[in-house]
Amino acid sequence: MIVDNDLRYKIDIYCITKLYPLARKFVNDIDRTLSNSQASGLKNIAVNASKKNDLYSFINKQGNKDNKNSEFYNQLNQKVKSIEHDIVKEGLIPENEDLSKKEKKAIADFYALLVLREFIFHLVSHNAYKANTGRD
Amino acid sequence: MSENRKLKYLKEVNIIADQTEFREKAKNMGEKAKTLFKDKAQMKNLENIANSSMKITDILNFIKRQTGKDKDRKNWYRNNFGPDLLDIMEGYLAGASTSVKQNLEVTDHAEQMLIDLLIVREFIRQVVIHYEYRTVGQEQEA
Repeated sequence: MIVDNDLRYKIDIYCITKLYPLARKFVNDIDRTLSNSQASGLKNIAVNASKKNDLYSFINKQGNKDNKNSEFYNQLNQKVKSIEHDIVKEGLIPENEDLSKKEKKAIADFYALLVLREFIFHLVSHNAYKANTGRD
Repeated sequence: MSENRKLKYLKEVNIIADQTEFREKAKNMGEKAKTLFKDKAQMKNLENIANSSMKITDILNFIKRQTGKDKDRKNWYRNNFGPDLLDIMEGYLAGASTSVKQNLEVTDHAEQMLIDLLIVREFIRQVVIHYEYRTVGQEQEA
């Protein structure tokens, strides 16, 4: 899918002004950071996911595990859902009334994945930084 | 965006980059880098990331990842290099960028993003130039 240049700019601006501080706050507010291997796993899923649901499935699966990281993933689950709502409000999903419901959903999922991927990149970078330096 | 506007922004960024405080901060970071990075690849990599990134957060994330990886404090985290560079970018350079945008009354978000990038690229360029200059000096001394 080709992303329109104007929309690309809007998404980039959203990533810089909203997602970057949001990811930083998410990592700073949570009690624990992810290990390097966990963070790499999350990043790989974000990079390679072809559908938004691949990312959600991974996060849900990790959140349902009975281990020290489950709280992180449960909170991440809430956060990505709230971002998805927000991008609709911000007008980052192109609208086309001529499309079928199925096509509209595919477009919405495509743009949601694009934005959530950026959020995960910010999160993983700040997680690595905070884990090693203890800095916010 | 017209070429004229781009040139106008570049001119304003160059004025900022020529200020003593800007040059001193870049020189200090270049000096610090000289003591930390024996291999030029890391600094060239930073410069390449700065020049190819379309968003300032890509550069911030790169520095965070490199600093996060340096568990033994051998380079990026040694002597606080990574955290100091982030502080400069998010503090001094962000402030410089804001003043350029205000002076030129730039309201377009895409153009604001460009100005942020131009300032950071120029700063990193100066850091790397000083690093290379001092590294060559070091090689000649050895």
